[in-house]
Amino acid sequence: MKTYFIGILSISILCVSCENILFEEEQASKDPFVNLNYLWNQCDQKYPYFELKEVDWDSVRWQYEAQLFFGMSEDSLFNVMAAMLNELRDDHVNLVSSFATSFYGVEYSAQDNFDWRLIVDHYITPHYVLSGPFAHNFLANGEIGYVRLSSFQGTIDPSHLDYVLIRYRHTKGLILDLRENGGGAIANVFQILSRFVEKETTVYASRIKAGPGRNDYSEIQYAHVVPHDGIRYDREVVVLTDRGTYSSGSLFALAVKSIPNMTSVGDTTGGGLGLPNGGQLPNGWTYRFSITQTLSLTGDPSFENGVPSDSTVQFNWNATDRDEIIDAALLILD
Amino acid sequence: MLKMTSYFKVALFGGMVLVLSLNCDAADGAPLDSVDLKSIFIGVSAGFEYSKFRDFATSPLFYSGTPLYASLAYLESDARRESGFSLAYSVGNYSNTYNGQHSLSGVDEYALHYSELFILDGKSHSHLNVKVGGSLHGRAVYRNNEGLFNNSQGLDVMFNLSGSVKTTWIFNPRHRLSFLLNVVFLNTSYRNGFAYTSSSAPLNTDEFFADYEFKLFSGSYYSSAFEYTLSLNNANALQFSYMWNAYRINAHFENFEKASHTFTFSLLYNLK
Repeated sequence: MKTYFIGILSISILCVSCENILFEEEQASKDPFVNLNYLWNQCDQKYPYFELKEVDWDSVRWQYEAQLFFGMSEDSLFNVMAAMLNELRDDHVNLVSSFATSFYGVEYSAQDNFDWRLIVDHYITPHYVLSGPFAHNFLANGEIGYVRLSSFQGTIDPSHLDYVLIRYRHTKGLILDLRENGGGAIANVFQILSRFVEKETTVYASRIKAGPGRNDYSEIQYAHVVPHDGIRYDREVVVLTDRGTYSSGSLFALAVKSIPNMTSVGDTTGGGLGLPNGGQLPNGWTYRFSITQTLSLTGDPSFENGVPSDSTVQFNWNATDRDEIIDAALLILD
Repeated sequence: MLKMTSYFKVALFGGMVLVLSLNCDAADGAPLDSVDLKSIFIGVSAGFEYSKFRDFATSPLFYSGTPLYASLAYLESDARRESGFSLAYSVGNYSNTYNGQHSLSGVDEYALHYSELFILDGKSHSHLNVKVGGSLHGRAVYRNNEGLFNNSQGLDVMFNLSGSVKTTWIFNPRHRLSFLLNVVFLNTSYRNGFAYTSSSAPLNTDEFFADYEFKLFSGSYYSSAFEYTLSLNNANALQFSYMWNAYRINAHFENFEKASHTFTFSLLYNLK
């Protein structure tokens, strides 16, 4: 019996210490080299746009690793790693610490093309209507509807869409203003588009990184918009875009190219068509970057750099009472 | 090479504990058949865990917590055979604080166990009962960590078959102490693909498991338990347990590791 107890006690001690045998070694680390290389490796294996963006990721590593030194401050390490990530020129790439969040800021690479106060003062009046995330009113003597959506965040309530489309059901056309719409839930893109198609429409393709090699991707799959079984709008819709139209906003702009009664006016969008992931570094900071490629129906990934509008129009900031992009949309719908 | 070394260590450890379990000498005692009658129990347990996990697909850091634990069990046992089925659930927050960064992850874990054990005659007598057999373990771990952006939600599922050894010391008809050890010999897992997030969002298909992969021979699982059982006059029983388990899911691109120490109090209702 005594021998048994000793045996069991030995096994118990072994069991608990077994965790250390079963598990890999502790990897928490504040070492700047460890953290930069961890982040570099994650991107190296999973980021899908090196070739499109012509980024030599190997040389980026040497360039930024050379800026590291033992004993450097957290702030300095953050700045070096954030600058390394910004070589990807992608606003779906962020480094997040308790004291700062990095971003690229693609919208600032082009001129500003949106002024909400100007639109209120000279187009939709302060008596515009708010329906959930939509701000809207009539234009052109009630012949055109103007609908502003500043974000795809959250979940759009179908009743709000119903209200907007019923209100403008007798108009000649609709302007959907997505300028400076930085994105949000992709499901909202499809929910809105489903109101503007009369038959199932294939709008773009997607593939995801499936292995560490540069060309390791899943099979290409296609995204389809299915007509909403309810209130729809079958007249012409002009979508306004600018460089601040990003992520889900860019997906929307890309989908518009495949839908017959929709067209886009304004500036090229900011891109950001890859779906970002999320992760944590050995020092506790978090990060994200894209891990999918969005392709046109011909297999072209280049819209990641921005979806060009069908008609390019820029704001003229010298004319303080006109929105040239809305004016161009009104001309199209007239 | 690193993985081979880990496999070797784990295999060595497993073999060692099984040999130790079977080679402990039994003392002389009365014939076993006189010790025990068949019992059927429904067990209701509650307790808490101290546990930690690490999911390399999203973080190289350990998250630890003290979740609450509850389980429901059906147990049949006599001196020669023992079988049991149980469902367990634990829920709680796990956290990691390092370098001034605080990260929080909510974890729900669902587990089921089924075991069949048979007496090892040469090792058992009236005060000592040794049973060996096998057990099936299923486990699903759902975690939610908002700090991980689109990788905030994760679900890992594993099933395994284990070899089991249970030793029970019978101090008197009312008091007994058991030690159970399970060592895996077949492990399967269902886990995220390479990129962790699937492409279902841009495709508007809303399929959480779109890029999940099923792998056979994909990890290790060990568990053990000490159970002190106090039989009551009404044929029911109270049980105090300490359970330990540790597992590792590999064969996927990035591994998952978890270990738990669980302390429970159980009410065993005798159905016979």
